[in-house]
Amino acid sequence: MTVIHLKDIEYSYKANTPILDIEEFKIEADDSTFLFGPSGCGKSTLLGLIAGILKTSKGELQILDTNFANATAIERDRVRAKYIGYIFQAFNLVPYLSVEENVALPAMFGRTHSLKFSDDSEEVRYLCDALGISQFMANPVSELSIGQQQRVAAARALFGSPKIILADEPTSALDTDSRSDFIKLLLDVAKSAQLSILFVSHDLSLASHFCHQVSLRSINRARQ
Amino acid sequence: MNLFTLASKSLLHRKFVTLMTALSISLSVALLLGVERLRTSGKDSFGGAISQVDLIVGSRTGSVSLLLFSVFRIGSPSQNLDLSTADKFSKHEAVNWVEPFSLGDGFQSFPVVGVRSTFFQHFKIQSGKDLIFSQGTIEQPTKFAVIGSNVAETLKLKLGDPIVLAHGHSEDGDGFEKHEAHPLAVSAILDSTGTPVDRAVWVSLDSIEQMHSDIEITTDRASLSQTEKDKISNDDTHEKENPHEPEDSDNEDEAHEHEHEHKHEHNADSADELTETSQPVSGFFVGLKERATALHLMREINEYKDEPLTAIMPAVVMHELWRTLAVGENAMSLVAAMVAVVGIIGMWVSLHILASTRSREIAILRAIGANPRSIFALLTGEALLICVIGIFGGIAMLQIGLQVISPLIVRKYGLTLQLTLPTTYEYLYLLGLIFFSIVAGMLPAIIAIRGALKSGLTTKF
Repeated sequence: MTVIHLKDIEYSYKANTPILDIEEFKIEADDSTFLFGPSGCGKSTLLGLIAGILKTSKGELQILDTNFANATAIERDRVRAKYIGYIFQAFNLVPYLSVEENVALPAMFGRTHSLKFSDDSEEVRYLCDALGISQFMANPVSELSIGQQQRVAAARALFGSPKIILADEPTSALDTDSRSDFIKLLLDVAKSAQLSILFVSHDLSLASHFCHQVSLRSINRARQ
Repeated sequence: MNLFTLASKSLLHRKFVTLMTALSISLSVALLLGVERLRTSGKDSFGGAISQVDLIVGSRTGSVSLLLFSVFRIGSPSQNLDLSTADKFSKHEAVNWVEPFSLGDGFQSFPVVGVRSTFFQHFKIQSGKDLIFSQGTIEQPTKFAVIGSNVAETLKLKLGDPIVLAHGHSEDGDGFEKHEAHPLAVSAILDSTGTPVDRAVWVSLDSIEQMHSDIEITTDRASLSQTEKDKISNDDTHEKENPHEPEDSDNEDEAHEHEHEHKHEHNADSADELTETSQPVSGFFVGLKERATALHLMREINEYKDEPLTAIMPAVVMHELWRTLAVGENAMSLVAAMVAVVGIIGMWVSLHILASTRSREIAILRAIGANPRSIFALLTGEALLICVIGIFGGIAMLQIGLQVISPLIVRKYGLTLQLTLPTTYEYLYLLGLIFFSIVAGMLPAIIAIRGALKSGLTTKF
């Protein structure tokens, strides 16, 4: 089953200078894809489109059952809230909430805990265990290292078993060892939850962790 | 967790800024409501000073000055009229009651008013409220001393405490001859009214008369004693033009002396008629059977042949006087309006800064799936929360402040700052504050969401 399907997508911030022009890009269910490319080639823009934050009306942008190219903002927000987990490069966490509250935050915006668990807090505890942050659950996030913070962000993205995880260079702030640890953890949990990961990075050394590697340059026809 | 707890946690996280913003809102609310309270209290206190008195009559004088000395006890009557005139008008067919009053004496720094005991039934304040004795009562209609609440409070007087009146009334309360031979005792204390009534001592007209007829005798004796000791026994027939007036007797106020001499002469002429009816009074209050006849009677009194009199309708003169004072009132309104504007701008700035430091947070919430509506709700909710906290803080501040300063204001200006419900103007201001707090919270939300739409979720640092 295809969870992300882009066809003839064009996107430009300024008129007549498209930054993205993609003929076709697909991600299958239960798949992990590594999308790489140098800075400024439109990686974040592509993630913005897939997440439904940015909107294009050209071409087809099928995310799960919804075509984002002609869906309203409310529909796109709803799909993102329910089915898409997003991890930023850094500063993923709401500073005034504890680790636990940060992980459970998606529950506020329409995502429910996955059926395997009886309630939200049970799933939060499970995810924190799985990502090795259970000892910090009640702590404020400011007490955590950057690596730990990124794991909290991953736990939050995984909460409620979404269908898709979008990760925008989540390891760029980490040192080399923590990088592969983080990716391994993320992929393990993702696999057991049967969801697709689109991992974006400019660091090719991470590519080997993933099933598929795609160069954005090779699929983007827009002139850089 | 819901949006409200999220908003509260966010506010708690920014305790200092939140508190400071709320505090600045509180201050401007307290200031505005305080100025408004002062303004309306001033007006109420002024307008409530006299009620259900249809006419005030004094000897020929200006209408404003008659009102000022009779009701507010500012200034003094230039001439007295005779009590018999008041009693004559009390028999007039249109008149229901007449209450003569006599001014000129003082107790400490408070004015003393001579009245009859029935005065307290007829004189009303604040659209018909009775004067109420909070303690004591008048037992002897010819000898009583009733004190206003402010007098009791300031001088810490209780029922039965002695009161020695001074002849003449001065701000510092001494320097005048004291009626020491005629001590009175506090027989009743009036309830606080927020009007000039609170700041006066009311004694019976008879007591006043007794004291004054005595003073003539004693002062006469004093002025004569040094050179004409052998004539002392003869003081009942004291002459107006004393050829042996000693040079060191000028410690007495000249007009005062003249008044005494005049009165004394009068007394001597009709010595056997030394009764109430030949007593000088400052004026009298008139209550009519029917209010509609006021204008008619006023004209009649103003044209009274036997004695030059002035009658005024207090409500009319009060209105005129208040109009002239409106400049001050308008200035206060202007200050209040300025305070309101400054308050709103201050709140706007701090809420705006508070909200615009949060683009990162907004991006996170958007990524999780929060729609623009939730972001709006969060930011405006927080702004609203701060504003509401600020408003309640301001009201609390004002109440506490009033508790602290209102005794001082009552003592100094006789103004009671009542804790009344907010006026329409105040409600409008509070609504305006709330409205602007919502806008102040919404604008950064709009900017943040627009920004996210333009550049995706990557916020630059």
